[in-house]
Amino acid sequence: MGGRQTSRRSRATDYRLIAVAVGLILAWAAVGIRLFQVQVVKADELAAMGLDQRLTVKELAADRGNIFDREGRELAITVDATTIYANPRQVTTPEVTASVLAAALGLDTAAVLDKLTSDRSFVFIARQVEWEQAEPVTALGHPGIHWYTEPKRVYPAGRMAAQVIGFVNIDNQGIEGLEFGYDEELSGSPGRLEAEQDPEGRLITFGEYDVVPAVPGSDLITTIDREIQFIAEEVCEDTIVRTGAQRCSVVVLDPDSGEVLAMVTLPSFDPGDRAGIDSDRYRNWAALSVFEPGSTQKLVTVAAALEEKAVSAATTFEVPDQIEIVPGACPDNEDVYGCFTDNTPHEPRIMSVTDIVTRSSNVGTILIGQELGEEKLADYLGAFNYGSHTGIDFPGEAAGEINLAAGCQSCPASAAIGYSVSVTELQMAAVYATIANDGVWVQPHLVKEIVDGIGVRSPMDPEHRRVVSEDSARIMRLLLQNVVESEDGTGQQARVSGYTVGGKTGTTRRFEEGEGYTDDFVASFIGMAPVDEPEIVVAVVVDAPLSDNTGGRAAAPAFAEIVERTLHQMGVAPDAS
Amino acid sequence: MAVIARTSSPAVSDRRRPTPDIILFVAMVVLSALGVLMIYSASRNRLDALGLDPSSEMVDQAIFVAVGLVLFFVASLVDYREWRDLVPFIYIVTLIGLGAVFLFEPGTARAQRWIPIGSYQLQPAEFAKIAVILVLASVLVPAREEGMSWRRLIQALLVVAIPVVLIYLEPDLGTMLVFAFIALVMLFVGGTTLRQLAVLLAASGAGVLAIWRLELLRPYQIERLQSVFNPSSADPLGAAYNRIQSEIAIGSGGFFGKGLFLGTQTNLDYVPAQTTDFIFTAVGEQLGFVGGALVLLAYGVIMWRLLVIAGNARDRFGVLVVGGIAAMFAFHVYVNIGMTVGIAPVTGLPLPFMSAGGSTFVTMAFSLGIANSVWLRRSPVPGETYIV
Repeated sequence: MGGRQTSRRSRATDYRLIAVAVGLILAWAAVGIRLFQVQVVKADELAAMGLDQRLTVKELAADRGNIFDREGRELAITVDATTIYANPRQVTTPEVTASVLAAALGLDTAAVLDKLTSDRSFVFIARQVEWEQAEPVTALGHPGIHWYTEPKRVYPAGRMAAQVIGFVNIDNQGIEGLEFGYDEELSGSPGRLEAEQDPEGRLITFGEYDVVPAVPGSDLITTIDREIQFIAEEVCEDTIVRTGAQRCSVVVLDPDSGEVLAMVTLPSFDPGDRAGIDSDRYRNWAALSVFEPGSTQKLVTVAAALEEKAVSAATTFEVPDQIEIVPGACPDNEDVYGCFTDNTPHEPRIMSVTDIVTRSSNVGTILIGQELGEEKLADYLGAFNYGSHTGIDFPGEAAGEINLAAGCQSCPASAAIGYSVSVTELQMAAVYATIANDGVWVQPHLVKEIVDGIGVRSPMDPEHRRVVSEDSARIMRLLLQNVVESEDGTGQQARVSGYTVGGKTGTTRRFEEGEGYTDDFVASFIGMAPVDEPEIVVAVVVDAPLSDNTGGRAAAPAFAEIVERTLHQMGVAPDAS
Repeated sequence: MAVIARTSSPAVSDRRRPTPDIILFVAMVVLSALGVLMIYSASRNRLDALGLDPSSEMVDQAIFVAVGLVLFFVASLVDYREWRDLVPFIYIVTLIGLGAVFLFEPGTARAQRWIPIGSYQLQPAEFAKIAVILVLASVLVPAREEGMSWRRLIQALLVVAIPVVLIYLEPDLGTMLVFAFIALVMLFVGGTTLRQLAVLLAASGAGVLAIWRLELLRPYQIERLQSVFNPSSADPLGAAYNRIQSEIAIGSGGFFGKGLFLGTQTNLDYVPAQTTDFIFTAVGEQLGFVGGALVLLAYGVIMWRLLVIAGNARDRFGVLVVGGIAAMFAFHVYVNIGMTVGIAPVTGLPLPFMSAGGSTFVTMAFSLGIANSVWLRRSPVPGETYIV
């Protein structure tokens, strides 16, 4: 290794080292300046960007309130269900995963595969399935398949009162019935969770955290009695079978309180499985649809005449079987409307007001109406709430109308016997309840009480209004009792053993918008029991029965069965032999 | 050949005592200790979540630090001039090591860079850095100080080119760039004329263009380079995502930092490779500008010491070797920190003494040991050198 020699080192190397040093110092300074820029100048902006991607705001769903019947039995409740979703970008073996999912969840493999291969990062596979069904899927651990728990609305009573209770959509928003009408109360208000998360979405324990708890929705205690609802539905069902009717609807009211004990429209649907159901079936016919009441309305005409002392129960009229209101209308003039006839031809005869009601004489009732006068009739129709909403707590209630246009010659007569007006079944039930309740009209309602998340109860406070005196109401009830109990009465099939019953039949041609009167009938019976102090008012409307198409034959037997079973159910003491 | 240090020639009057470079050593130890702490901070949550010992990665690094410090002392004690005699052997072993990586399965990574030894993975390219510095220095020693011959220049380039080609095949873009920079600095210090340098840079430019045009780079490498110039437009979940996350983490540290173990961005895996390539984000987020600037200062101190050592080396070999070490060190530091603050491409170069990883740590510590050896045997008379 010898041969080393000492020499003065060349200046060139020193200069070059200095040049390298200058370069390194410049680079060092550049990094330092940039560091200052990032950590001091842009620090707030970058910190905000960081917080922005870490912060997550989660809505905390509020528990939806339950719906109970008047005894606290469940009609609508919320349970935990599992929703399975996929992130197709994470799915590694779409074919295998699709077939496994489809098999476990009972879905179509091709449809699932479509979802798994879509160019999205979130697709629902199955929403709100029971954990028993979801559990095998979650246990398999397929990449890209995830799940969470979400509330699901279920209806333990099944089809019972389906149109009244209504239902929610998949996001638990009420879209029909009480679920819709009381959606705000039932929903509560969602809470809010603000927290920091890691890239996997797990919450950071030492990060910022802010919780606004959800306010649970209120419970509804409805006026519905599950037992009575069941009876009414069963009888309605039988009536459809017996008469071949298109529809049967029932309203059972507590006349004193205005509480709806049962409200039935058949055919109905299962709120838990609505696939393929015609949305027409969702309609709560009894409150939403109007019809011409026909003879059941004679109660209004007669009660008004009694109240105005235009007649008494014993006042007699000479009643022919036909009356010409508009000149030239009788007999059977197709071009002139204004000839009214009784259902069965008869020689002119002397009839008392009682007889007229018992036999449901159209001509007689028109004569009573003439005694009362057109203006008074219109006043009483209004007082009995014709043409305006009852104010029932149900969305979309119909008001009906009174057609007493000035210059309409036939209208006062036709209104006296239940034509030229349209009402809902509920409105008619409330009219009868007014008589049952000694002349005081009470606003019908479906919710007894709202119980909020912390247990505060808000009872319903219905409107009251006196329409006729107690005396008039009592006399009216006796007239109605006669309709059922007299050998001449049209409502004999409404008799109930053990109880006094009063009621009125109604039979009208069905009026269709745009078509006029059709060949179909609407048969109805509305009544109350026991007559002296009625506990219930029951209205039965049978739409388009094929056989037994009068109110007396189609609806009265159903009425009787409902009344009998309901009074037994309620434990009302018999008042007759 | 004596392995233990030779003393300086008695013929020369030694006016300075052979003291080790304490400052260099302290800066290295401080950075290593901080690195271990930061690795613990950045890895404990992830390891804990996996059900592993949260300190396991830290313990590994502490072992590497211990081994590295031993090698620092060994390299300090060995007279650096001994390495010159071993150059052919070192070169051959290096090439064998670089070739050996291709014998092993690439595993999950996209590259073949490692030789598995037990549960550890040796990265020959790291050791190759100091090896090539030693080899290149010995090639350049005979060159004229003011203007080397073209023949010498080409010889030097070839010596570097062979390992670079092997590293290209792995592939490892970052390490290739390190070699290029080391070569550039050593050639400059070694006496290339400015004209030669100009020709060399022009040729490199043409080479880069050729590589680009012939699509010799992997797509992800191009993406990483592009993301420097336009971080937000590129794929947010790819290379640019890393850059943005890194900048967010460092920026959200602010002036004083969030405090040790309180780095939400780094500790929660928003930042990728946070114990290795992106360890500086952990420093920046938790210790703030104060911590980051002190780390940068420590690296500045090491570079200052290396340049001083180079300037005081006893001979040309020492000047070139320490110059090469300074280049290697500086390139790693600037490119790594520059990458985390968004002014350098994401190349995957570790941060010396702080990034988790044994091969790099050991190489860096050993290199500084050689520098210290040069310092211990510096010219007895300032400005005087010995030329072979």
